[in-house]
Amino acid sequence: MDEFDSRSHPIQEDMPFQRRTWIAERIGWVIMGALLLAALAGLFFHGPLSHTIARTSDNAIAVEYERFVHKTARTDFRIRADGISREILVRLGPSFVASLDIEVMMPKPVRSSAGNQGLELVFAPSNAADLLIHIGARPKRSGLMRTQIAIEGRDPLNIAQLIYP
Amino acid sequence: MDTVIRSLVIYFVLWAVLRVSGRRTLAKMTNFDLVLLLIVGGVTQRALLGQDYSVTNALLVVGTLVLTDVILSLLQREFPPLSKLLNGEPMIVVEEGQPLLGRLNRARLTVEQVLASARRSHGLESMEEIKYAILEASGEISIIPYGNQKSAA
Repeated sequence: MDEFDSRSHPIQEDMPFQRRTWIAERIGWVIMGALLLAALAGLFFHGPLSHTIARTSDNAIAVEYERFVHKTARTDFRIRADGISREILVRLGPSFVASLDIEVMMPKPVRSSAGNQGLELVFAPSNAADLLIHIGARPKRSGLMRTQIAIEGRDPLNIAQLIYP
Repeated sequence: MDTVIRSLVIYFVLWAVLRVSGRRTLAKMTNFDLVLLLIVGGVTQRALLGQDYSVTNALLVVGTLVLTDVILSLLQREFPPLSKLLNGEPMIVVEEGQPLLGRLNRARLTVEQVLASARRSHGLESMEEIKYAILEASGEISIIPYGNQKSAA
């Protein structure tokens, strides 16, 4: 009897099933390895695939953020706008507010209000001509978040972020 | 609702991972396996509970996991093929004193591990004294020694 034939004594074996199990096992290892590599590349959070900068065509506004984030794990947005030396209104789209809880904002806005346009923040002028805003936020809803970040008088920037559960 | 779905997802993902890792992984635990198991427990615990540390949530998680387990065990009684799929099957790895090396290889076992098991369970010294060694679905190795010579001796 061949080694891989099914025996019936002392137990009933099913070697074809056993072989399929082994194949499935090996496929499973490959999948786990692939997931690990994808994670290292940043497909799930923090990494070259995840980090991105959205810019307007004239490069006047840039938003640095992560494409892939986790629900409940904090993520950062850095908004930079050139050549602004007056009070400025920044608007975060409604789905931004619906998907993320803002935990940190530097600098603090001098005024803020919310409406069906989203969250509107007014920042004091800085001495440098650049406006730099850092927002730390915690995703609270999983799924694809598409929103706009707009600075008054400039083209809005489209932001898309995938929030893993 | 969230809690129940999350628990079910974790249950089946853990099942898949443990099944794929091969059956001898956790049955014969080394010190390191134990540490690994604790880490797996700690990591999944956070995912199971989310940020809700209430008693209600804990009860829902426990209830879902236990009930899933019970339902699956009932289904396995009704449908034996399901049991085969979920738990795997026992397999003979030593036959009439002859180790089946191909099988041992595929199951990531060594002759030495079979002999160690034979020593522990029956005080056997060599492969020739083993009539059958069976790798159980649980990952343990059962040893059936030759006849009654051993017990008579």
